[in-house]
Amino acid sequence: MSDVSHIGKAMDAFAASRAGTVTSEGISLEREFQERLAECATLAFRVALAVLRDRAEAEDVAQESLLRAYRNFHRLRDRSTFRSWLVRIAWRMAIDHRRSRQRRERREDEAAIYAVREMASAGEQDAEKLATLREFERRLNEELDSLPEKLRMVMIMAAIEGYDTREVAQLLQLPEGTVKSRLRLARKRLAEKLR
Amino acid sequence: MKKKRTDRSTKMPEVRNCARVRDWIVDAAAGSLAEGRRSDFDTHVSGCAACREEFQRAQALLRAIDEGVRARVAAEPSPQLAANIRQMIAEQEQRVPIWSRRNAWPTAASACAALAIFLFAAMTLHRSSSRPIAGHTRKPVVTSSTPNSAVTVPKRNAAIESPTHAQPRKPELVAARRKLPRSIRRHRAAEPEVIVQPGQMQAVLQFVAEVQKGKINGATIVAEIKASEKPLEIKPLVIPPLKTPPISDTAEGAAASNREQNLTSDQSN
Repeated sequence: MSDVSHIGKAMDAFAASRAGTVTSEGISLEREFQERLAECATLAFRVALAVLRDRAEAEDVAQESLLRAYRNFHRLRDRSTFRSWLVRIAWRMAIDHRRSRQRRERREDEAAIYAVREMASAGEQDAEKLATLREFERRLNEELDSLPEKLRMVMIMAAIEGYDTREVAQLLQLPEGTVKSRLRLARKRLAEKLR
Repeated sequence: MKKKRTDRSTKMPEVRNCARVRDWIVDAAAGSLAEGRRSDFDTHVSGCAACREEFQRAQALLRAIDEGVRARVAAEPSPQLAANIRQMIAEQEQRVPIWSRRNAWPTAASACAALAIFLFAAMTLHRSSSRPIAGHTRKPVVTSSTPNSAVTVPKRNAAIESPTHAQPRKPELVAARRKLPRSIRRHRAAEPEVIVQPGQMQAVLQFVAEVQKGKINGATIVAEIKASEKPLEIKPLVIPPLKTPPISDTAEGAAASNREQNLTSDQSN
């Protein structure tokens, strides 16, 4: 009961601050969000980039997800879970965004590979290496995207967090053991596909 | 012969070991090989160059995968990202949405209630005005806004030909409506409805067509209708005095008195 009243009070305060009737609680909520914004903008951007593989689109999605987080910040009961909450928002929004432009993305990838192959055929050794690298990158991206979402998310979050499984477990709100096993499984599947 | 057998016996387990270990290589490189197998794997790999090479290749592949995924997410956002978000937030605060205002919900609820009452009242009034009164038939009324377009055509949902008004629209009615000029059709909603008595639809449509052609002058008809709607003059009631004949005893006397009474009443009429 006390929890509920506390939340209601905080919501009132936040709504009041947005409506112009500024209260001290509203100000503190705003300030808290602004502090977290600087810290979490990169995280949201990277999550979006991992899904979209396009800087400009990732920035757009990061902006949108942070705005959504701002609008709903007063609803977040446990502020310590802000990062994982934001990760989920950014992930979902990026997936939605990607679905809408998937066909165009495929065309662009193919065009890039074709250009690199053309360079390789000109006889330049560096270009050949680059072509191999790009081909590997393309296949890796494909295989990563075809992983089940649970494995893909762990793999990407591990890459963002420098393969620190404890951090990933906190971000995804999963037991560390689950994160470790999913990470191993994801790497193994990728290796088997790319061998 | 014996030597051959020895060669086989030494080679076969090695091949079988290689096949088994190759299955474990990716697990071992990914760090997910079961503890019980780890020692067998290490022993084999240290003694088998081919498996060792394969294992090293798998390790390199996993490093490349990790690097590849890390490269996919390693970019930094542009420095303007946070500033842009702050600006968007500031802009959003300036145009505060109605649902986030403190007293927004009571205001919205009362507005909805007022709207609902208004709509209900409007619908009730509309129904009562469009429903024909029982036992009362209105004359077909022709109004004129302009002299040549003095026609009103029955509305689709009006009480037309009361016994059959639930039937589908007649094609001649539709055709007549389509023939009307657009200016009339546009103003039709503001004009009164025409109630046509059963069986008279064809006549009304013909009348409308005649008016449209100019064969009948609408203005004259309206003037005549107005003239015929003069208030009734109530004449005072004249009651003739009642004459009572003298009572006679004989039948002849009675018959004579009756004749006399009839004559007086004829005279008075």
